[in-house]
Formats: sequence, structure tokens, C-alpha cells
Amino acid sequence: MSEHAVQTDSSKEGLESFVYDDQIVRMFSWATIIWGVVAMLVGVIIAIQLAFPAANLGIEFLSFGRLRPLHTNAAIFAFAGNAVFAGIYYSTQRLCKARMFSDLLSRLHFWGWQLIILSAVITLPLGITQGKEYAELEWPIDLAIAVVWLVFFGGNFLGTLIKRRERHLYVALWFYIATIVTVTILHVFNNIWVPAGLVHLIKTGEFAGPTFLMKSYPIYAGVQDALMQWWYGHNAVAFFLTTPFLGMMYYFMPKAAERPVFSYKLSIIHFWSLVFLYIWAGPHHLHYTALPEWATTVGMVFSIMLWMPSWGGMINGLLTLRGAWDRVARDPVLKFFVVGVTFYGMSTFEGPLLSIKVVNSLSHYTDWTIAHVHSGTLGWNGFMTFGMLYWMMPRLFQTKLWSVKLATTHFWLGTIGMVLYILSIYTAGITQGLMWRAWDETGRLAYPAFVETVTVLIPMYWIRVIGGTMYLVGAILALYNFYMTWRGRPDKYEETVHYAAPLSANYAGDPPAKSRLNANAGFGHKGDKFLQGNWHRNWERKPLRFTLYVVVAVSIGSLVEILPMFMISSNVPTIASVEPYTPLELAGRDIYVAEGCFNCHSQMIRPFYWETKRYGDYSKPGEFIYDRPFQWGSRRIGPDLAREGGRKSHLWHYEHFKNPADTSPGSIMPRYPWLLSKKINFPAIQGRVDANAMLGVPYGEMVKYDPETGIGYAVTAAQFQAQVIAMELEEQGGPPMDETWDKQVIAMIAYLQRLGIDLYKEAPVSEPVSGEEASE
Amino acid sequence: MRFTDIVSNMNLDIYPIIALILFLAAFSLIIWGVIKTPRSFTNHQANLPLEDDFDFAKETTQEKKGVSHG
Repeated sequence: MSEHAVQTDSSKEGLESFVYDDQIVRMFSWATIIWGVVAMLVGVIIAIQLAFPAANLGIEFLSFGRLRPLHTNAAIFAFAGNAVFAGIYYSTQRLCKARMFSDLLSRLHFWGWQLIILSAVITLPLGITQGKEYAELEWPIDLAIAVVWLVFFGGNFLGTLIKRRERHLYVALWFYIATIVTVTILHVFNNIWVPAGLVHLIKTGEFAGPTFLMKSYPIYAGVQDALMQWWYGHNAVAFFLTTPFLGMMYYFMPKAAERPVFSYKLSIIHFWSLVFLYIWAGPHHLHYTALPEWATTVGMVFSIMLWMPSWGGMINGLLTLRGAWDRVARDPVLKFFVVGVTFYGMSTFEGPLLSIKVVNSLSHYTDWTIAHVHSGTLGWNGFMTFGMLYWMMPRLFQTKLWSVKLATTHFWLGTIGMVLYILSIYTAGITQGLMWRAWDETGRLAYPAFVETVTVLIPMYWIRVIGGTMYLVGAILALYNFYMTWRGRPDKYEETVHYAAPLSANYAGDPPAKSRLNANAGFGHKGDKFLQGNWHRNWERKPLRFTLYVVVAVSIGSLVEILPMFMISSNVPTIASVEPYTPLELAGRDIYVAEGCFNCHSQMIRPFYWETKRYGDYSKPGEFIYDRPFQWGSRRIGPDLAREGGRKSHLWHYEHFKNPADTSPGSIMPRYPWLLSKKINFPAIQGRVDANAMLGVPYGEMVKYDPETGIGYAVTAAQFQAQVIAMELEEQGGPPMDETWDKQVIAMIAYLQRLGIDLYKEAPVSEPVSGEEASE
Repeated sequence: MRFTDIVSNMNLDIYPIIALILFLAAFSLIIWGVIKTPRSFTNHQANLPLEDDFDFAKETTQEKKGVSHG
């Protein structure tokens, strides 16, 4: 516990002295703006890559598929995450009239979180990823997140609540509680995996490389993995990017406006409605996919119901400025807050709109979703963060903001940049969605070549680059402004010593409710006391009970959706002809995941005429039972690949990886020259197969090892299949087999040629071929 | 009989209905609780962010001491 924490002053009978730990707030604030600039810079780089594909440079660490997850992770967990921690550490101490529970936990939290971000910066460009959006980080980092988030941050926060000196918990603290417990639940249940590399190392003593050591497979597969992922993905938006920022809105907007929140009663309704409803909405990300319709319908209905609390919150935020609107014109802090809350309203109007199935059929897989996401992150999260930082930094550095004019310039650059970004990308999304579904009078697709629906978007992509650059420049101006403000700090920070009475252990609470009835029935008396409504006030001074009720609220929605999905077998009807991937195909699939192909290619054909016409038969749930992780994707910058198998020759794929523009003129896909030169990690293939077998994939003899050579049958089978494909490639006019058979491109071709073909095969009548047979 | 069997034998239509009823029940309770909350209580709560730091210090006692940069 901090040395400052509790000192009894004899001249102030019954009071305790304490000082706030603002140093930790300064640390998180600096991390926020520095990582923010990094996240936005990576965003601009990948935006340029889409408008000007040569900017990929043919360097694997800079390819779009690897950098895009870095951008999203940096924006969400580094920029927004550090902002959340800065805001929570500042406001919680003051709302609780207590220093944080432990300075040590605060520092462990800060440095642990920065280390996690640094791990992401290193591993994601290396292609070390779980291949699930916003949950890309691999298992060792997942474990670190669980410890840092729950133990260091959660423990410190809860400890502060317990030793607080303000009896009732302000509404901002409720939002923080919901954030901490729900993100823990989401993170843990979406990241249950088998660490394939570690298991292989323990089982065989064979170290198959550092990348494979980090490799894991989720315990969920296909449809179930999709449900879990978007239960997580949507609620990461809800409980990482919404609830903590709402808590900060309820604290910092009244501070900046110097008046209380418009309606505290409305904030109570806002909180409980949001917490109860948000958790159900995830399946709306999977409309018209192989997810059962009942689940997506529930997701849609609850998403629409979210309109109500979201707009209640927005109105509450904006009306907090009643009587202070004249100051908005002068104060950049209020400017940022007003636009931030307005974007919250716009995003939370648009989210339910996009969840309506018929709208979603147009918007899904297009840039419309990207525009929606950026109106939320740039407008709501970004501007609330900047507003908060501009309000806090002068106070933290105990001096005036270096330049109000520069802050105002930042505001206008950011606002205009956002508008340019969002409008151009809305246009791009709707344009592409309409082109996909357009057909002529003969019933043929009007734009049969997918690439036509991409090249038409390039002018809009350039506008995005301009808008994004303006937003980035604004953030750099903020960084400079904060730096100059920091330089103007006093030689020594003054730390105010506060005094407050500790909470009495004998607090009796409000006068207990008394029954107003004359009847003798005990139930009636209890009911009458309940109806007098004291119970919520009681909850507000009991953090543990409050936390428990939040857990119950979020668990109800989760369980009602997840339990039937896992327990009713009819949700995922099996298909007899669908077999496990061969060892080489599995290795190719893992390369597909590592390269982040899912960032541009979906593997989910929806049951629409224009989709089946373009891609083939619609996708069935039973086709994905061996997909760990599922790779349905969320955006089509390239075409869907669910039925790619057999559509093109090996040579086409080989040339396509070498230079996509050669086989698909106008393609904006990056070149993948390293796939043609890097070797397949054959020893790791046995570990991949073994891990999948552990999860129930029927690999039969493939998990065994040759007693004489000690080589796994899966490795032998993979080498055999690689040689066959390389030979066919040579026959098609490709390079000599000796040059290609052990290269990663062969594994990728094996995987791509397998996609979607099982549906049309005869059901197998025997066990999968063994390694011995394969060698023959 | 296993839990899986019970869940499998329930009509899927019932899940959204259960969900809606649960939400409406919880929402009604919260609305009722809010209606019954005295204005004096919510006014006090709403002013908590404005009471910390300077305002808080005015109400009790305040001392300042210099500390070095952390």
C-alpha cells in the first residue's frame, strides 16, 4: 500500500490524509498520445497501400494483412486502452476520495500493459496471430493480458473502491466496474486454446521454431468459433470502447462544463439498459452466414433495442452543457467533447441500422462497416480522449496549456479529416455493395470481375488517405502541445494533501423502508418495502454486490445465446463428405492465417442470388467443423474464397502470389514473394496435426510416428502431397519441382485448392490415409 | 437425462422470448427504482465530480507540500 495512503493527523480528529497519485495518470496520458500517433500512422500506411498497392514494397513485415491487425490493436488497446486507464486512474481516486489501492499494482499495470503492446508490435508483423479480429495476440500474450488486466488493474481498482471515503459510487464507477468484469469474461472465454507448439515441445522434446512455439488452436471450431468470436468482438466494442468512455463522459464533461450531469436518473437507466442489452448484439455480425438464423435474429432485435439507452446517454451528455454552450465556441475541450458525444449518437444510430438484416445484406463485407467503425473510434473514442487529455494535461503538469490556438487547430484538422474519411468510405462501401448485387437484363452479373468493384474505389481510398493524414497531423500537434505544456511545468509538482473521514463500519444506510400496509401477509409487506425503491441506493454503496449484479446482467445474455449453440446439435448439421484438412493443407491454412488473408478475403458465401452466381453454392455450417480458427472474414477487398478449390490451376496461384497484377490486372493485392522462397516448417506439421487431434479432429494414423525413423506420419504425408503439387505445377509450366516442393507457396496452394470442394465429394468409407500408405 | 438433451428438446423460439421477458422485467425494475429515488439523493450524486479537488478541499482542510518530479 502507498506510503501516502493513510496517515492520521492528530489535529484533525477522525480524518485521514491522502494525496492522489497523479504520476500514474501522467504516465498513461503520455502513453495514450504516443501510441495514438503510432496507431494512426500505421492506419495511414495501410490506407496508402490500398490506394497505391506498390507501397507494400514486397516486404513481408509491411504487407497489409500483417499491418492491419497492428493498426486495429494499436488503436484499440494502445491508444484507447491507455486513455481509459488514464481517465479511470484520475477520476476513480477523486470519486472515491482515496489514492489508488497500491502504487506497485499501478506501476505493474502500466509497464505490463506497455509490454503487451510492444509484444503486439513485434509479433503481429511477424505473422504470429490467432487470426481472430481484435483477438489476434497469441497465447503467451493472452495470459499476460489476463494477469495485467484482472490482477493488476482489476485488483487495484477494486481495492480502491473498498478503501474509498465516499459512501456512494458515482455512475462513472459503475461503468468502470462493468468494463473490468465484462472484458475479463470476454477475454477468457474467447481465448481458450491448445498451445500447439508448447504441447509438441513437451510431448516430443522437439523445438520446431519460435513462431510455432507461439502457435495455438482455439477449442471452438467453425460456427461455434464464429459465435464466440463475435460475441467477443462486438462486446470488445461495447465494454472496451463504449462503457469506459461513457464513465469518463459522466465524469469529465461535468468537470469541463462546471455543472452536474443533466439527469442522474437517466444515467442509471442508461447504465443498466446498456449493460443488459449490449451483450446480446454480437451475432448481428454474422447475418446470412452459416450461423443459425435464430441467433442472428436475437442479435438484431437486441441491437435495435440498444438505440434507446445509447441515445439516452448521448442526450444526457449533450444536455450537460445546458447553459454552457457559449463556452463551446471558446474552449477546445468542450469542442472535442461535443463532437465526440455527437459521434457517439451517430455511431449508435448507425450500428442498429446496420444490424437490420436487409441493410446488412448490402453493407456487410463492404467499406460501409469500415466507415461505421471509424466514426466510432475517430469521433467518439478519439475526440473524447483528446478532450479529456486537453482538460487533464494542464492540471497534471500544473500549468496552462501551451497553446489553445494549436488545440483548436487540432480540433478542426481532426473534424475535417474525419468527415473526409467517413464520407468517402461510406461512398466506397455503398458503391461496392451495389456493384456486387447488380445484374443485367439477362440475369448475368453486371460486374462479373471482382476487381472492377475494387478499382472503382481507388479515388475514394485516396480521399481516405488525405482525411486520415489530417487526423494524424492533428494528433501530432496535440503531442507537441502536450510536450510544450510539460516543459512549462513547475520545478516541483505540488501535491495537495486532502483530509476526509473514513467510511464508518457502522453505517446504517438510509432509514429502512417500512411497510405501509395493514395486512398480515408477510409477502405483501416485503413487496411494499421493495416498491419503495431503496434497493438501488443500497447497491450503490456496495461495490462487491454491484459487481455481482453486473456479472449476472452480462451473463444472462451470454448464456442464452451460447448454451443453445453449443448444446443443440441441429445448429451444425454434419456433412458426411467433409473431412479434416490433410497435414499439408493444415500447414497452408496456418500460413493463410499468419499472413492475415482474412483481412481481405471472406470464406462465407451468403444465400443471395448475386453471391451464389459469383462464388458458387452458399456456405453450410457443416463445412467448417474443422476450421480452427474460423476464417469467414468481415471485409472483401478481394473476392470470397469459400469455393476457391479447383477453380484455378496451381500455376495461376503461383503466379498470383508472385505478382497479383500479372494474373488479375488492376488487383490491389500485395505481392507475396517470400512465399516462393521460404521453406515449409515440416517438423511443425506433426505438432499441428497432434494439436487438432487433441481437439477431436479424426486424424487417425496421422498422429503416429514411424518406429524406425521417428518421423511423424503427418510429416511424411505432407512431404508426399507437396511433391505431387510441385510436380503438377511443373507440368502446368511452372518452375522445376525441385525448386518449389518444400516452399510455403505449395502449402498455400494445397489449402486454397481444398477450399469448398468437400461438399461435392463422395462421403469417405475408410479412415484417412496413413503416413505409411502415403509414402508408398 | 443430460442437460444437453433438455436444451435440445426445447423449442428454439423460446430463447428470444425468454430474453425479452428477462430484459423487460429488469428494465421495469430499474425504471421503478429510479422513479422512487429521491431528487435530493440524485442531486448529491450528480454533484460528486464537482466536489473533488478544489471544491472538496474548500469544504475540509487543505495543505500543500512540494515533492520532486516522479
